[in-house]
Amino acid sequence: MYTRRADNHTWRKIKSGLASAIAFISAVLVITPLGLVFFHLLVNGASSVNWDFFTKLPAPVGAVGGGMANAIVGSLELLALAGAIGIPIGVLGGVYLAEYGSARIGRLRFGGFAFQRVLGVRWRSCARPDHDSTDLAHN
Amino acid sequence: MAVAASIAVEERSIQARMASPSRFGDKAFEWLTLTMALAVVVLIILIGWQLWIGSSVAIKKFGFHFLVTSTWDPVAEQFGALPFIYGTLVSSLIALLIAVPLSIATAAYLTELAPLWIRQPLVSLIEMLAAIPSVILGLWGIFVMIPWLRDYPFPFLKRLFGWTPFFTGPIYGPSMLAGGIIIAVMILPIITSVSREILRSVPDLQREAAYGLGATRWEATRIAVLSYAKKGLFGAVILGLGRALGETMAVTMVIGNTPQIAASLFKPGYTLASVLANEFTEATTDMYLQALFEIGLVLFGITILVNLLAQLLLRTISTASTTRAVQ
Repeated sequence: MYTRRADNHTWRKIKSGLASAIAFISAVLVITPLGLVFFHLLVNGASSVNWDFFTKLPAPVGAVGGGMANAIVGSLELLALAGAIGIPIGVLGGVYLAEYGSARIGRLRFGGFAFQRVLGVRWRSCARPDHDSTDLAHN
Repeated sequence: MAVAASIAVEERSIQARMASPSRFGDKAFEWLTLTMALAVVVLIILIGWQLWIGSSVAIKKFGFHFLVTSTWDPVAEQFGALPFIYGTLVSSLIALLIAVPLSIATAAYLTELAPLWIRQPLVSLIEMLAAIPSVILGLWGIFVMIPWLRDYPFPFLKRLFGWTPFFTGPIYGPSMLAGGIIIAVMILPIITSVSREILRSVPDLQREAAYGLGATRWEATRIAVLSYAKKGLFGAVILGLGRALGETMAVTMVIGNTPQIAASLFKPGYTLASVLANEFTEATTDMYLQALFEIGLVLFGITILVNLLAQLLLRTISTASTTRAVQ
């Protein structure tokens, strides 16, 4: 009887260790692509990065030299424009949902909840199961 | 007496002067924020409306056949979206099958099983993975992942599971399976971070109770933490599915872009998002453009449908579990 219990205990400990090992391997697998992508970019791209890359326009096809200044500036401009439009709307809309809009526009909020999940925005608040359940219970 | 009254009057007028503008500001701010909150919803409705308007002629012409036929012939103006719908669903399913166990195991490792010093660095790395732009992953997929998959894992899978219809036929490289794998890489970080938040929000009382009863680390994780957080984890998976369905650039670069329905996952496929990205510049005729708009409408519909179904499912799970659990 005692030996069986002891065996059982060892087996449970082994199982626990196995589970930890599997979880560790999963974590390694999750970050492997990051390492591989970064490595690939460094190996193939590092040699082309110099001062000209940031400051010059692309050279015609076939010519040596040139840079990507237009694309870099374009990305920054896009970022500024998108932020100028999106940040006020997003922040103020979030303030409304948090401070005013709980009871009055419940249906709309439920709709908004669903749609914002489509956009993948509202992941902080749906990350909390208890918060989530009260939300769903209220709506 | 008169002096006191005049002071009272003055006080009241001061109060009135002070109170009214501040209340106005409050109201104005409320309306401003309400407008912004509505703007998000209105935007979504407008997008849906625009897709509907843009595809109305195609909807009238093809009707239900659009969803169930497989011909995609812009020259003859015959359009059927079935291969794209199939590709979107199958590639997302493959991605979920790969990503869900990996990310939930990783989240459990990060909150329950890992040594403390390793947790924060791992979390930062996973958040960096989420920040890699989709097009870079696609580029890596073409030049690194596909050649490797073609040389090692795919032949291995073929030898092992060649007797099933899913792993038969020639191995080209760009394929439904490669598409599913790249989507899995893209949704891993989001499912992992959300699952981690959920597991962290499980009360410590749960763990203490399990350890108090003599549970091992894994038993405490499985019984006290994972099963307590089931509902939240389901939400995390749905969030990942939403991403997977709409994923465009990386998938387009590795899935092979061939509108066909084949059982074998080694065959190239096509998704709704990819056909939009590839063909909207080539849509020379009105009907072609209409068909592409309808593709967009179908994708929009599938994404919303999946999320609404998930909400309903989440509600039924929550009512079922609250009747059982003592809270």
